[in-house]
Amino acid sequence: MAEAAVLDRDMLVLRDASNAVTEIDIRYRVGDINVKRELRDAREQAFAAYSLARLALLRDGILTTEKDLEDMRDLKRQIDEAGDTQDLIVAVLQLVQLFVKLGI
Amino acid sequence: MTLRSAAHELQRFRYGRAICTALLLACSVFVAGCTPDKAKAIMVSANQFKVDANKAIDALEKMHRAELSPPPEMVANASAAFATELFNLKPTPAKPLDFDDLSLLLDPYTLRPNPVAARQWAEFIASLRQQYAVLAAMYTSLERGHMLAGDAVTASVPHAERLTAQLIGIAEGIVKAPPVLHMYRSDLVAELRRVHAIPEGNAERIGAATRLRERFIAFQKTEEELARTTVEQCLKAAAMGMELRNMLKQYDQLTLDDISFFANRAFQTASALTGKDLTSLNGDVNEAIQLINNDPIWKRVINDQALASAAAANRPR
Repeated sequence: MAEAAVLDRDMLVLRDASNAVTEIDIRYRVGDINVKRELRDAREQAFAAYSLARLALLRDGILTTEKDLEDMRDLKRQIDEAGDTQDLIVAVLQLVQLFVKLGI
Repeated sequence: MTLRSAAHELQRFRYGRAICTALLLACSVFVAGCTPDKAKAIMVSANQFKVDANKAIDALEKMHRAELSPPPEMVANASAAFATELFNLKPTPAKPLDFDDLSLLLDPYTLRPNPVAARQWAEFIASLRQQYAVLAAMYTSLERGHMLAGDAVTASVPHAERLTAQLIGIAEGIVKAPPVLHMYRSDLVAELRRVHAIPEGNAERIGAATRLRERFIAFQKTEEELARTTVEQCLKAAAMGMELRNMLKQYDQLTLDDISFFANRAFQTASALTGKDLTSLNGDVNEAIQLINNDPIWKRVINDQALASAAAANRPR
């Protein structure tokens, strides 16, 4: 849904990050405890980069902005006000109905 | 003077002209198409859209958590080997044993939280949930204000469209780059290498290879299921969003038959998506994108986003 170039770029970043994780995680998994001790920080950094690349790709699909949220809150205020006004009308109508009933 | 402009007049001079305008509006109830039932139907649909979108967001979170998690049995085995592994550690003067080594011995596979990634993900998920909550909250007074809120309801249509289209955008991103269970894959590679190294003539050889094959087949299903359920939830929520958008667009002319039709169609679409395989869901994602691209109104929403994406591309990350 996002612009194709942005999507493609973020897709490539995710693919690279995924390949980096694959490479280091296999070395980590098959290595002994001392290899793990050596690679632990680098492995976790690779996973964090992957996590952020996945997030960037998801953000590409997001269309709603802060401005949209403000607009929606404003529309809510308008609908709430419409409700208050309508309540007032209904009250007046009931009053008129009562006057008619009483013959005033 | 139309009924709508009469209503605006009323809002401006709420008290002074109340009785006069009240009579006008009393008449309008009989000719305008908006009844409390229809307003209530929109409130319920918007709330259902929020609920469905939250399920999609839950699935998204679960999917990503799984991408960063090790198989539980791998952690359990490593933890059980604590005592033996402790004596295999070879500290150096540059890197003596320290507190981190205890957590390494206890669980070498589970990732320690990364503050930057964790914060950005938490903000993203919270912002997504907030967007659908704000949309649903917009209509909470609609039943009370159904006669006068027509313009606001019409103005809310593009927001429902954006929130729907972005669910399809998320599904598209997952279809194009499905989740990868890296640690499960590494565990399988380690097992592949172990089985491959079993010498010929060893009684365990064929049995180990057969078990590896079964594990691999089960793993493929698990990984695909993760993508499938996430895409399915996104499309189900988008289906509800599309029907809400149709109701909002026809607010003034909406009949009770229309409401029943839209609600029924949303239910049928959601049912039809349940249990579909990833390839079929991929087709549904493409169909939804096609539908949006062929509709001038939906397209306008996407074009607005193209500009936003271009701006985002220039932002430092």
